[in-house]
Amino acid sequence: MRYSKYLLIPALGLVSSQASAQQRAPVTLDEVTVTAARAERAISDIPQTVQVVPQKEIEEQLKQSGSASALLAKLLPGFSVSNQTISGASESYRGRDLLVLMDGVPLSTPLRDVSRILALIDLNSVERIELVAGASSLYGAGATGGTVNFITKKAQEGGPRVSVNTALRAFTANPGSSLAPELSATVSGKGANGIDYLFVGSGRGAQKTYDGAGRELPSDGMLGQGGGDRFVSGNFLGKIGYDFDGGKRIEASIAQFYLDQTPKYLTDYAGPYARPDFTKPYTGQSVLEDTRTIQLRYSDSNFILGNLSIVGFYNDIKKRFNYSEFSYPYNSQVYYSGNPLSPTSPANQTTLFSERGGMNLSIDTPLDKIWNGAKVTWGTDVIHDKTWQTLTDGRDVFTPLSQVTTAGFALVQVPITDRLTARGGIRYEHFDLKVDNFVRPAAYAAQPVGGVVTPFVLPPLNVIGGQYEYASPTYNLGATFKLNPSIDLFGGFSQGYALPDVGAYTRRAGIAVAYACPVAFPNCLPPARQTISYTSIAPEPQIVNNYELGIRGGDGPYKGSITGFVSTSEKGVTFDPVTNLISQQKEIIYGIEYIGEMAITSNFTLGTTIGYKEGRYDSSTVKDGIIDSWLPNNRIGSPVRGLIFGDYRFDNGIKLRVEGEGWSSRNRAISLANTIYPIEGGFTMNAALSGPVYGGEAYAAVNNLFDVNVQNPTATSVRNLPVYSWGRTVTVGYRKTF
Amino acid sequence: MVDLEIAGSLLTLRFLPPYTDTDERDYLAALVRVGQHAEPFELLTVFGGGGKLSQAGEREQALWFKATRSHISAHCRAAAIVRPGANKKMEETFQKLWPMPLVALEDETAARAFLAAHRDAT
Repeated sequence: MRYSKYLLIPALGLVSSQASAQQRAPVTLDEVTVTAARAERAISDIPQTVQVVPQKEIEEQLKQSGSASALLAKLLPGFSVSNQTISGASESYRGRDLLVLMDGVPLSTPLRDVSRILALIDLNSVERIELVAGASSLYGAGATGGTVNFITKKAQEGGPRVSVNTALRAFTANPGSSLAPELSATVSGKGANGIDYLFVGSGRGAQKTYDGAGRELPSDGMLGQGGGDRFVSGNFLGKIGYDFDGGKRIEASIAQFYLDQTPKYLTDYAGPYARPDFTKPYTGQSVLEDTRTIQLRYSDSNFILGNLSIVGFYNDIKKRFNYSEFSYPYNSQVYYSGNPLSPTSPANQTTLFSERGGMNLSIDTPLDKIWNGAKVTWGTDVIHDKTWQTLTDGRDVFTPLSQVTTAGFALVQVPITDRLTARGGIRYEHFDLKVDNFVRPAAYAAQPVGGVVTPFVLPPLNVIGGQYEYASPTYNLGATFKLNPSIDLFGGFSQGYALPDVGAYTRRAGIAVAYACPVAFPNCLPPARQTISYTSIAPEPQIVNNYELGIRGGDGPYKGSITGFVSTSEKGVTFDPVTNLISQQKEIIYGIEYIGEMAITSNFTLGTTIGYKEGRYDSSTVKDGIIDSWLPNNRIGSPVRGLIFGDYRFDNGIKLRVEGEGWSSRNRAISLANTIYPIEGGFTMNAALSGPVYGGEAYAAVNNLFDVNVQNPTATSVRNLPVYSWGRTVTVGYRKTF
Repeated sequence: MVDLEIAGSLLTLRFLPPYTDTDERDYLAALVRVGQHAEPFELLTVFGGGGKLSQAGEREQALWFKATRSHISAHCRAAAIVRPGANKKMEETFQKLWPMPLVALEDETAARAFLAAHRDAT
């Protein structure tokens, strides 16, 4: 008999240089993370909230939904309720942006934040999800609320292994019209020659969607964002790697995201809630995603300066959004056809293009010669980003933008005592932004004048660009303290730095009465008001400060954490859907989050996640720095939300999971004029049953078990227009590995 | 860090961060102690995934499997291997080696529950 394949611990080849700190405190397995500091660290050393969703939990959630935002919404108390569409509009973490990474590479489009990332991620290809809460700049701009890293699967040792997961979902309101099939196949292996490979291909389809009252939901309930119905999508992930002797590895990967939604009807935004307008067939092009990311990564655990990781990446992004027509008051501004009787241009539909390429270098260097157990993680990032967005007739809708980001960072971790570990660091970020000239197309809009809704035309406007530079250091400092071997106290301060959505600002260039003309005289502007400089409308970079204090750990069958946080910024970014304007002002968000899980018996586990967050800002037009109102609903849709679940595993291998999801209402005044857009609270139940069948796992799941009709707080908050949640859905599926 | 904890009939072998230069020697010594444990026991191994052995250490580990297989098969009532990336295939591999009930998991709480069930059953 050969024993080599039974080895508990494999050989390294060469012994790596490791810290020699003699800490005897037990460390549980899920305390290892790679996200927080761009180097592998135990969670117990990180002075911020860190949550890890392991593969078995991802598979459990896949039984109920293929959506990454639905998963995050359930398991991470700081995340908003999923809006159940292909858009990420108003989905936020702690009321701010969540930077989405795949294997450490950002998938975002920071020069024009169009909020469509999470719905594209194929959970079948994900091995583990790591979330670090709080503002951070460590992966570049965009993580004002937190950073989530989807870590894709790794090839297993041995010959080709094939895993198949297939599911069929439907709404019980009309199963025949809502059947939604899914199929995913994974092939992976690792040969004796050191080469490993992994390929994941997945496809999904969806037909109609229904709310809890059995009513068909609109294809675009959130105005231009895309719904959750009538789409096909396909994902592919391919990875090939090679392990050299001595801890070196090279890996190349490609991930393809494709989605095509073909709405059948336009949406009625003027009624009491968003719904399909069955009298108006959809006349635009399909809603499309055609995006790929390529990565080449090299790592060396025995590099002379420590553990080296270098990643080169290129993202090629194409996102086309919905066509929509003028509809006062919710869609009170459209690109103008030139005909006031039918003011919407047939080209009133945009496509975003972005090409991003860059290199991230991280080195994790032991500092034992200076301080036993200390480490410094340092490195640099260089990213080139080119982003533009056009109408379907090819006209630009904002200034084409290109930017070179260069950054350097260093983060030191020092064990002060056996129990106390301190961390602190700095990152310096420099944005070199090139703003092209462009002509903002003519728009048609309406607003009340003297109690009468009055239409007007915004004639084409020349926007003059230029070259601009922005730079700032950001800092972080924190500590963890082991109260006992299994419980940690943690707390700290961290900063994020971001240049807000420049494209959105230039898209709204000249959206003011000063640039308006009567419909009868659409070219009324004198030459002096036919041009505007980017300098006069440019946003300012924002620095977000995050303060956090928490306790986490476990004892025997119990594990949990509770965290309080406050985040502030002087230049917070808020979008007002009523005026279609963006503003920057002082703001504060605060909250508390709890996660707990308890193994009642060896078969039965109970758990809960619950989060509270609220925020206030300076809503006055003069921006006097006085925080006077509550943040709008599109920042904080529902202040309190939570999940309670029970998992029972029978001795014959059958597993039952029952979940209850709830969220609170919100009735907050968001302006000095006491404007309130109420959002209703809600509660739904889910259940999933699975068991071994023919060497695989068969499963069935029901979401919104009692088919209750509830508003979707996140979707509702986009335009302050009620949008209903999904009614009861049923899923059956089967998973097997050969 | 390598640590062998003996609490009643539960033997817990940990190989976790922070990793040190003495890990390999400590780990192989701990294996010897497990292989010599004379009372019926349950075995819980918890690996962080970062510790590695030299080729010589790996060979010694393989020889330990061979030398102690019958003793451990006779004395160990159940075993749980906890490590990142634990999967069914790993579990099946070790089940071919050792006849006792055995699981490979990523979650220590679930592993402890599994071992507790087998302790209670005997």
